Amino acid sequence: MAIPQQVTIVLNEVTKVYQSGEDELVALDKVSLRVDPGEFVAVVGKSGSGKSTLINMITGIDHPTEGEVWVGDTPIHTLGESALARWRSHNVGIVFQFFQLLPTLTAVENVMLPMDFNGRVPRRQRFGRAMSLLTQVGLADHAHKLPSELSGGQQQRVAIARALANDPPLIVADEPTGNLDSHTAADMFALFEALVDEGKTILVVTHDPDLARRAHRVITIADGRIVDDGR
Amino acid sequence: MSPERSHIPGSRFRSSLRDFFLLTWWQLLNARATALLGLLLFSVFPLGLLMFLFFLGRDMSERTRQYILIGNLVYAFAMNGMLAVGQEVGWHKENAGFDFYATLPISKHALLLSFLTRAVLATFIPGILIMLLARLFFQVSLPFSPLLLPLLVLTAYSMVGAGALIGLYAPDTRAAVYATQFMALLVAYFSPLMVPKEHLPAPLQWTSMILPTTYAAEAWRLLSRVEIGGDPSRLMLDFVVLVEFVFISFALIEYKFDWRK
Repeated sequence: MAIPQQVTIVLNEVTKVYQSGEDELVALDKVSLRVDPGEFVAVVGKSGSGKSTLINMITGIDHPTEGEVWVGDTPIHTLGESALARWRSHNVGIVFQFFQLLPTLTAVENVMLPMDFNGRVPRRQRFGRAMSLLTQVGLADHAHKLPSELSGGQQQRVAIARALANDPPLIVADEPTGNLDSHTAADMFALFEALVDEGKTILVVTHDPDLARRAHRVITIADGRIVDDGR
Repeated sequence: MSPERSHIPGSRFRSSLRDFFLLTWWQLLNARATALLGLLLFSVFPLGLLMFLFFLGRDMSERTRQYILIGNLVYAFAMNGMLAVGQEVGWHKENAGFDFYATLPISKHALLLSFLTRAVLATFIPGILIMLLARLFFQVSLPFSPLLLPLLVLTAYSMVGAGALIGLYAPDTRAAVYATQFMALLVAYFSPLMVPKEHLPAPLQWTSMILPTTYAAEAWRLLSRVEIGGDPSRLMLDFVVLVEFVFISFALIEYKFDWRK
């Protein structure tokens, strides 16, 4: 399967309602959005505004209650869990706030792991590709260290290298700088900018307005609605 | 951008099997740092209990010693797997550890079975150690049967669903640890693992019927010809019941274990 390097993300009237006993929480309310290939988009908003729910719709980690989500020509809203996981493996790299590295695997092993399950990179090339990605994020010298031996910023760089392991066209990061100091967070955004220059589409959720301004476009969300789509 | 792997049932099974082996390999790598501690933890309870019982009754017959040894080993295989899966799931749930696994194209069965297999593999070494020590210090040995391997696998897998659900529904890691340990103690002392069924009070005889360890211990004793008054024709029945427990365990995981949420 050829992996597309350019994807357009389209959300049509997406609503997400969470049930909690008798109560209903509307996390997203008829949200429509288009993100073009190669865009660097920051999603900002207060805690509980629906930022994470919005990107979970795009990665398929969560399903919309109503509406459609398209990434390229794939209708994400129609896929089952298994198909979604396979689709995600080829098309989306996810970076988490708390890194989620496996603690007793070395940095290079953490980066190699997604390649094993995707199977696109031939087995003999996986170590070399992992080392090349660690070089790209400036951590080749730390390849054989455990996450506990790395700083928070270095761990997040490993997590970014891992997200790039299968060369997905789309990178989604949920508060990737939430646990980093401002200097390290700025470095992280510089890395995202470099990836956008290489043609990746990047969506980043952040609380930090200064960092958000470095993106091409800032989407502001409040109470489950997009109040400014940055166009 | 369609998914690469097909939905043909055979292909799906092969892909799940491949995922299982890959995950188990990564789980074993992941366990390197704590391998020695894990071995100690998995050995200490069955070994301590075995020594206590043997010191308590030096005049026991060889058959009684074999009886206790088998109960102990069944406990180790069934409970270590259940404890490992329950506590691993509890930890992952509390620390958002499933977030990363959820991004991989793997099934929940493959992931949970890899947790379990790591624990079962880690139990084999203490299991062999316990058998060697029992032979060396207590002059008790067990006859080998080729059916022991499938029996041990069924024993371990029969409890994985219970472990996974305890881990999933426990409010935090600590509660998962308490709940799995509580269940392990119930199985150890309130079922016919180390004590003949007839010696238990009637209510415990009834409750022991819903524990797979009861059937696993009986099957092993029948295979080793140490079942006191046992009926060899029950061996097949024990295996059938264990297979049913494994199916129930897998069904619980399929329908109740919503790990991507």
